[in-house]
Amino acid sequence: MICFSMRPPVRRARRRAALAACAVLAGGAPALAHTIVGDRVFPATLTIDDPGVNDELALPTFAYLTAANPDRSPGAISYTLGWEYAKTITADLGFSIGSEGYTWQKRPNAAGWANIETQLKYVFYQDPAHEFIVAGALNVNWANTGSPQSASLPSTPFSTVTTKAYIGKGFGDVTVDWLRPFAITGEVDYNIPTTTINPDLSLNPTSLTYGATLQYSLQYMNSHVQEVPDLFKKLIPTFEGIFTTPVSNIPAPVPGNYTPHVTTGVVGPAVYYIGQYFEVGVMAQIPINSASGSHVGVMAVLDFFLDDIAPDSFGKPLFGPPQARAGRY
Amino acid sequence: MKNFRTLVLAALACAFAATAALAHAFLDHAVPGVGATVQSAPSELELSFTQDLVPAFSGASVASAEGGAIATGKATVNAASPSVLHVPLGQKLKPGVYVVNWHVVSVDTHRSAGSYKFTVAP
Repeated sequence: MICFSMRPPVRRARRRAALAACAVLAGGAPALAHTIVGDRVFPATLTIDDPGVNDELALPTFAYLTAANPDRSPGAISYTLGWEYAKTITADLGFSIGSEGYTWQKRPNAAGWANIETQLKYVFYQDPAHEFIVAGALNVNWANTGSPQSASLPSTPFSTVTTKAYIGKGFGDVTVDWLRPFAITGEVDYNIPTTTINPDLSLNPTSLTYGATLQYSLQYMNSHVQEVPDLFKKLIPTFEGIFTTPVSNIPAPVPGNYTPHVTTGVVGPAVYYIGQYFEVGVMAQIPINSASGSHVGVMAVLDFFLDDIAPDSFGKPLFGPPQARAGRY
Repeated sequence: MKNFRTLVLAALACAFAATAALAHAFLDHAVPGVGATVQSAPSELELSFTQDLVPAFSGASVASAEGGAIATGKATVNAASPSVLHVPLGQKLKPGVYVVNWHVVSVDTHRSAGSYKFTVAP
């Protein structure tokens, strides 16, 4: 049996690995809120989360990927629709709840709901003048909050606690004009399953997930460097990647399956349209090896900016200034 | 079910209608244009944003590429075009590169700022 994965790849991989001893694929899932630091907009990217907190609703997120069997033949085809709601508690502290959502799988046919995830995220430092931001988060994927174990595609039967670190930097402060639209973001996660050994004595590895995006904002170029045609002025093209590497409690290799030590991941180009109240993003996810997939997949997101849709009500922090980072430009 | 759908649609309509034109203001275009070269010195700058502005908290300054400040008049926003910031120039610009630093507050109190260059041709 072959399977697929979404964000974080290791979780989906463990879900499938633990339940079906299938191959591990990596993939991204649409992320949380966009972030504005100074005059830089960091979009809600598809492979990793953006480095800030905000009030947003990602609905739906979409992912498509074809797995590869260990013999290199095409494996399961999966389509997944997910969601995520992010809420600011203060200007620098945010909470989110979401799920990888519902997955339809072909070859073999199966379907099921993934677990619910919750996250608390804090912006430790930001420098608007230099478009620089650092944040951290604690994420919990709650066991058995998705489809039951009797389902054709059951949810992960154990919880996973993940610590996360984020960084974002825009290059609007460099002196070379054509470099100013560039920005980078990065994320590193340490995934700790709360159950290390399953009832069948198989192991749930601790793993590291890491990814980055390289962005070239035509929106930034239009406002700061050189005006561009209307068709392009709200676009942010990127190149992104996300990878997962098991680091401890790694199961013994099983003949005929992928080695459990293998790093999985996807890379690929993406483009984001930044509207006044929403963002649309699409990415081609290219598996980095056969353990990650057999064909180019797709990820997409429709993300609503609640801070712009309802700035005076549910789009503002619960406590403190109504606008995150207000007064610090 | 029909009533529920009507309720949801009404709620969404209210949410969007009540917040029309409320969002972060980004510079959409300018005259002289961002990064543009103009043949004659402009008498004012016209900065068009993606959202309506609060005039009292919006403005711009101009400097030469070497950093010398250029005198400007008070920035204004016309009621007829509330997303456009007008900045009169207090002197005729000589040929050269100029840097515009702007800061605005959109009507929902979102703040944003930025800068760009334009060139007056010899």
